Amino acid sequence: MLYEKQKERKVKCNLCSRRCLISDGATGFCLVRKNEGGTLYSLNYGKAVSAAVDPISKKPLSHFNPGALVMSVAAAGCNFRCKFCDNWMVSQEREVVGKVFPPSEIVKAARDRSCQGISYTYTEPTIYMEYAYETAQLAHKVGIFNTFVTNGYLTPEAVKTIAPYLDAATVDFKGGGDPGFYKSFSAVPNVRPIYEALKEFRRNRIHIEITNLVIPKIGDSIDRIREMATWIKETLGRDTPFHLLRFHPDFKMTTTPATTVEGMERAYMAARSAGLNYVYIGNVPGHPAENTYCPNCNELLIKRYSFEITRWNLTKDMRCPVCAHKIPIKGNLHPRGAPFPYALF
Amino acid sequence: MWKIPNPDAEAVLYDELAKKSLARYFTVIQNRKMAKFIIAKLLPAEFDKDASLELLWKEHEACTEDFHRIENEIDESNEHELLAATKSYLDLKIEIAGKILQHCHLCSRKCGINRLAEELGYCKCGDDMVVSSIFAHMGEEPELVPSGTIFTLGCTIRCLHCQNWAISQWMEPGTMYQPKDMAAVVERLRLRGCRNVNLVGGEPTPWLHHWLETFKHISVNVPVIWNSNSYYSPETACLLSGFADVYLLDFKYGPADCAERISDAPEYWKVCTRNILEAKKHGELLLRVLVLPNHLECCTKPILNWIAEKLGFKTRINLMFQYRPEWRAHEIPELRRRLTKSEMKKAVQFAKKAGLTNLV
Repeated sequence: MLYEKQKERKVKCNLCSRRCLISDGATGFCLVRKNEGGTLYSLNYGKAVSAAVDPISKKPLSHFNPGALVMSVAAAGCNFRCKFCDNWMVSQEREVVGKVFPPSEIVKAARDRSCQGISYTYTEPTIYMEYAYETAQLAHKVGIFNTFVTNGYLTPEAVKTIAPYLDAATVDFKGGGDPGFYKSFSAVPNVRPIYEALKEFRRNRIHIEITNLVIPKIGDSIDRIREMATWIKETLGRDTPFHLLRFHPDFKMTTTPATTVEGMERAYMAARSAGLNYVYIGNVPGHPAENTYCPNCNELLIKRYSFEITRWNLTKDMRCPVCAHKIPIKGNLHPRGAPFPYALF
Repeated sequence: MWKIPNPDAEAVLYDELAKKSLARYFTVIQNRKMAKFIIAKLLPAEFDKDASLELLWKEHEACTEDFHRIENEIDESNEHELLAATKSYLDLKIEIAGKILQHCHLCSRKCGINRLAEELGYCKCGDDMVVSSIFAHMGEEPELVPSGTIFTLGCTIRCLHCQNWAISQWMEPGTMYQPKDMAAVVERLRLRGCRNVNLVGGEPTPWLHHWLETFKHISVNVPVIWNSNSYYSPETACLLSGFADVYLLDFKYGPADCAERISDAPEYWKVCTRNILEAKKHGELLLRVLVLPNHLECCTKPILNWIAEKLGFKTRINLMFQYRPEWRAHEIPELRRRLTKSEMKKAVQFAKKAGLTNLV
């Protein structure tokens, strides 16, 4: 998908913004797309490294079909190399691994387990686009929605390709989108493509929620968070949900301590004061900033604990019961009772 | 400060053959002579920053001749009347290398990317130098250890059997260094007793501009080891003259298509032989010949014969038997195993037959 043939049997892959020029027999940066005689093949097609039923709030998506269950799938590989990756066992795999799980099976599994959606997550959906695309197409036919969880480093063409079947996207920033941070952490030369991709998602009317990982010392600049929040407000609107995620030690970054709750609160205040209406703190269960409040009258609207909704205080047409302010939530509430997540394999 | 803990590193000081082939290097590590980059800083160059690349190269050519003359004078008398130049030969190199980055042709692939415009070349290198690790390396050739080794990220070729794949191709995260900070690091390595500074990676070639700039800020005398895959452009070779004290160059593929097949390095033989001949003119040589399983006839043999014929029997060579399957070596059937004893013996026989005597 989305590659151009070049001279001498080389190909240029236009899925992610690296736009790798791949010579015959070689793979791109992601190691899962290989040029064989001038044709680019996806090596991870139909091979899931993980499949699980998750609450949608885990993605995180707070303003999209709240309470829904999503079938989460992933294929091996990534176009980033983050030292702090918490899914490194599958994203940083050198060889393509996975269990055969064709698109039709995914959709069937989602229906069987009464999931309302399918989420392409854990690793990077950009680099298993064909797999995601075909699954998403089948899912739409049976009325199941699709969501991406992505680092945002995909090209506008890639966004356009998946757009007809994509309903929501979570775009993850790390370290406040600081270019120096991206350069040394993942050999990402330039962060602008992420902003371009976000604009393209918006043009295609896909529901967007943004996250930012706050890492102590190296990625917790308050100025950066304020800048980012301002950009979101001006480009995507002040109603865009913005999740600040707490760092926890993982993969190769086990000596950095988890972000302090105070640090998270400082970031929260910065994002709120930049003018965003819905800012959330993630990975601090029980924190008041997990809840949704009415931006008009400050009434508690949705009370959450971790991934669960514990109290629902909105009218049927998604308005504040006190001041009738319209809260931008797409889709319906899906009340349920079973404990989640659980893994298929 | 270092008590040399490696017996080979001490023994090499009494090895006449080794000392002969790296004679100047040995005097620099004892601070009896100046490292080339220090002389390059003394030599004045006249150039205009905005001049075209062509004009700058002309000035560079003239300066290179001066450099050799002055280096000989200083080496003999150990005295000089030059004051640090306001615009030096080293500054000229920095200027040229910076201009090269705009349509990068530092390596022989010449992918032509503008690395200053937030783009990455084939080597996955951009505008800021990213470093994986820095330490006093005890596992290099005995004459080099302890060696102040700096591993940068990215490489100009993609060997399927790369043992440093995590930093050369997979691009694990590193730390960004500005030239000034790096200069302080290099000075500290030398002051702690490292014999030299060893520029390695990945591959140092993509970072030549950054390295030249780094050495502008270094004021201690330390020999520069250019530890490269030899796959760099003629332009880079010119910039290295008067900068690199020792060329520690890899030479691992013969004239057949092995290099292109295994390392995606077209014209490897041509480039490699050209650079090695050029290196011999400007500095001291230490060649690394990695013996690959089943590549003795097509690679090891022609390499050793070429060295004996073109560089002389006393060329210092490290004939390396430590190959082990790493990274994606499994994609090449013959590279899925280590060398056999008989292959090692055979490689040594080739060297002897060729007449080579100065093996590490």
